[in-house]
Amino acid sequence: MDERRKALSNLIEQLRRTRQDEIACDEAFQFLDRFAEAIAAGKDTARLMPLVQQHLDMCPDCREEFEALLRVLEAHLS
Amino acid sequence: MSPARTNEQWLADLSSTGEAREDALAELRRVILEGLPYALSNWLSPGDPAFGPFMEEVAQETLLRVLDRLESFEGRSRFTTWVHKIAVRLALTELRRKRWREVSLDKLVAGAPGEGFAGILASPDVSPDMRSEQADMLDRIERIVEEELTEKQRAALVAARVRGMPIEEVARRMGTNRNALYKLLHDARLRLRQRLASEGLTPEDVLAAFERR
Repeated sequence: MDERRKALSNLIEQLRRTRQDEIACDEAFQFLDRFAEAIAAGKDTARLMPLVQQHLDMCPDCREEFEALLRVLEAHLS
Repeated sequence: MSPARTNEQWLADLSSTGEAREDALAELRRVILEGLPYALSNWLSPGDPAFGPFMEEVAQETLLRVLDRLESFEGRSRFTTWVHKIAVRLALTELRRKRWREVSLDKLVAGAPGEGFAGILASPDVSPDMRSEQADMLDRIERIVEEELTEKQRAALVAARVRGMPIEEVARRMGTNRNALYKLLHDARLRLRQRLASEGLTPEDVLAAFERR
């Protein structure tokens, strides 16, 4: 897909999923360790921590940090 | 190898002095260094000569920050998870800063001369009969963006959501912080969505105009 059409598509998708109440990056970061552990444990995070999930859906930077943290947890290090 | 420390043991040792603290710091450093390659696998590979020094730098910074914020650890996750989180944030912030160092916000946000927001998004490879429908839709979006968003919001939106600049990098260039910039973008999204709705346009309508070629 052409890069610019993809950008528009992503933007529109973000608009579609935008909610009135969203938490910002600082608050999401505060919950990120708990959230990542819950995901790694297979818990229903969409139900348990919906605001964090929503933020990660809207924020590529926080999502990238979350995915990095999850990789560490799933490596099952000592 | 000694058994894994509990959260309480980590906190006790790191809050103490002397050997207990030194041992805990050494162990924590090892934990951080073990996790970082997994965390940063999309950015750096162990074969990269910058890898080792960068990891050490991140580990040191992380230990300092952990000690500084020890009292803020709430015990709702494993202590090591909390520490990995801090290390990841430090590492990615630095990697993003390095990658985008040379990029100017003005250049990123500007389109071609005379090109507005919509122009930045317009696709060149569209069939002639679709072109006018897309042109109309782009004009509408252009008008909505200009009427609903502040100049700052427009620039932040283009930089972060069209050009892919990390919001921390955008925030720094705008003299603000990541958290505030997220709120600015959130407000922008709400305004755009509301305005689209009041014009009788659903997000699906907009997408549909661009799906066909």
